[in-house]
Amino acid sequence: MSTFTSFLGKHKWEIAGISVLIVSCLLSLFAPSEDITLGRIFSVMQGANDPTAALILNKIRLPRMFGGLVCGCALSVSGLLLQYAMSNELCAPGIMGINSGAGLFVLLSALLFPGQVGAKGAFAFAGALLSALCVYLIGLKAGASKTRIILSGVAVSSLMTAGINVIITLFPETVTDKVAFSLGGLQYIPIRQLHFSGIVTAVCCIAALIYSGGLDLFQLGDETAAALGLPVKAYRFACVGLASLLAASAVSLCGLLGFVGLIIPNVFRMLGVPGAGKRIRLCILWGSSFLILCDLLAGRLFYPYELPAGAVLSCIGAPFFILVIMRRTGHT
Amino acid sequence: MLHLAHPKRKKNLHKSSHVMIILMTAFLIASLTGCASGDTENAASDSSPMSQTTDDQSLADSAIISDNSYADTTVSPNNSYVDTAVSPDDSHTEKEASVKEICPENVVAVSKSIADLWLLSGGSLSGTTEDAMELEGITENTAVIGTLSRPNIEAILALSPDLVLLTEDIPSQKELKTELEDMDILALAIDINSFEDYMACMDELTDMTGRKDLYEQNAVEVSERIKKILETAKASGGSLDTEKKTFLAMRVSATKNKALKDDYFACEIFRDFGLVNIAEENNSLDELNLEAIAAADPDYIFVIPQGGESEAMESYRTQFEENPVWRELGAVKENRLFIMPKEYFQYKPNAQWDTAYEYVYQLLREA
Repeated sequence: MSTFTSFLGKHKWEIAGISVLIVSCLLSLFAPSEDITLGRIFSVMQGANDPTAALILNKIRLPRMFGGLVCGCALSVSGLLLQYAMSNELCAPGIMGINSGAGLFVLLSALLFPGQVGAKGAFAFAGALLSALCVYLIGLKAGASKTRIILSGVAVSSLMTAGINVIITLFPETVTDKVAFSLGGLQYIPIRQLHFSGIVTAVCCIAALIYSGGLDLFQLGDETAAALGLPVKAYRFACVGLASLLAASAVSLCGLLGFVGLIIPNVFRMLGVPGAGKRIRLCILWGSSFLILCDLLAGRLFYPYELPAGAVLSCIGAPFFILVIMRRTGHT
Repeated sequence: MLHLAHPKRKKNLHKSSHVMIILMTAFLIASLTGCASGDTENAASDSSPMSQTTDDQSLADSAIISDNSYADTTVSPNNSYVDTAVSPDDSHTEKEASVKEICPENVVAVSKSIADLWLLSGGSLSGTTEDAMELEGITENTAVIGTLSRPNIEAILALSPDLVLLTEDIPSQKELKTELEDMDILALAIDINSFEDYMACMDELTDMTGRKDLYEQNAVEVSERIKKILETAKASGGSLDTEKKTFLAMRVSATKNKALKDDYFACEIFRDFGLVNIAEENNSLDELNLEAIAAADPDYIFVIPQGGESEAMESYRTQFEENPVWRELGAVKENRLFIMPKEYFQYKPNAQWDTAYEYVYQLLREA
């Protein structure tokens, strides 16, 4: 009994995370709306012939739920990896310009290889990696203080966003809905892109978990980590590469969704959850749940008027960002 | 704490970057394989709606664009609508018969103008956008399915529509059309850029509803009234001296102001009175550059507000009216600048197209 209690205590956040994820998925699929009542949903599950409800469940809600799962997981794990690699809790794919870089290159792929799923993914990765490398190199040149890295990220993000706006202005056909792309959302999830991003996200998360042991050493500082046998530069590059891959797979699916990669890793850092491996698992569970629930809120709050999920995330993420900055200022 | 001094651990950590490189290479190979296979996702701007539609949808699409003049004048940003036009070899009789067989009862319209067109054709609506709810013909059974720029696909599907009428001018509706076609739901894009487009569209929609009397009333008679107005204007001769005079038509809103080109329906009305659009050949006017406007010095200026009218007019006042260069323009000094009513010049006037012509005629007569 004490072993069981100890197990529960040790893994309370993971157990809660699994529970919340299951509830989020169920809510996303089965939460009733004005048009589709709970009764109709249960009838469909029991095999009743209701093609409308079945169509909504299978073609709208299911892809949307999986989209939230993949993107939430990808963005939060990406944020965590960046925070470890840069030793800065303010790092996130949106703030570091990685999302914008991926977004810019997604538009370039739409221009050069319109409609090609593989090209979209490859270009998104290239853009994300380019942005990350720019920030990294600026940090190396200008001094790797935490503030300078964040400022570099803001500068690179602005540059990439400017590029996005130029392409959209000159070639409006590259993105079907500019506003939806810029804010990010899960309203229209292309199935093939979902499969592609899902596989990439799964592979990257597994890789992050397998090699999470080295991430903890970053917190000891580069010299100590190197002395303990960690190939610091290669490891940092690998982290940034994985983070870029994850961000790219999310951006190519849901546009420029922000703040997921900032909020979720920081929540568990503030709660004092030890170990990179554990934090990665929690980011997978809670990041997915968070995005699914935000999307549900965006879609249901003023039904049938739908808010972009990115707008809801910004409403929650921006105050959280301010809170983290103020806590940092208080500590220093 | 990891004991990295252990040789096996060191080796594992060095392996991490190799694994990373292998992962990335695998990803890139997968991406390139995806490209080479030529598979495409449903990118609305590039895939042909004809290739994704059911037979009913393709026939209905072809019926809407069976009139060549309609096809020629209906231009979407990348001509995808024109590109999917059925070839002239297709049997018109076969298309008409198939369209008439559809007789959709459960129709959703995703804009106010399109809702108005369907109601004018004698149809009823099971769902439409918020701004169309005030239209005559809307019943309490008509559901709201979102807004013009953000229609809710779930709300649309919940109505089990036989037909969804939308416009590809709005980006989110372009995506909506793709999604609906994937679910084998008939979705027709309607783009009205001229009075001829309106007449052709009314012809096809009244074919579906079987109300050719409404086509006569709301299209043919309107056309005759427009002809009379133009004949009267021509007969006025010197008192309506608009031949070869120039105009600038500008759309103002809280977020963006732009010059309107000849493909905009209101510009057709101005041109029918003999006026020449200075923005058509002059790209520097697109963003309403004041220097370019001053250099062109148009004889008439038509200001059309979009969105919230007070916000649009506030934007116009701060960006143009209060500018000294603007105040020196001939059209401004000689009171030939007109603020046009939204209901005839921002929204498609539909059955009141002749009222729009009459409005312009009276303005030009009194100028």
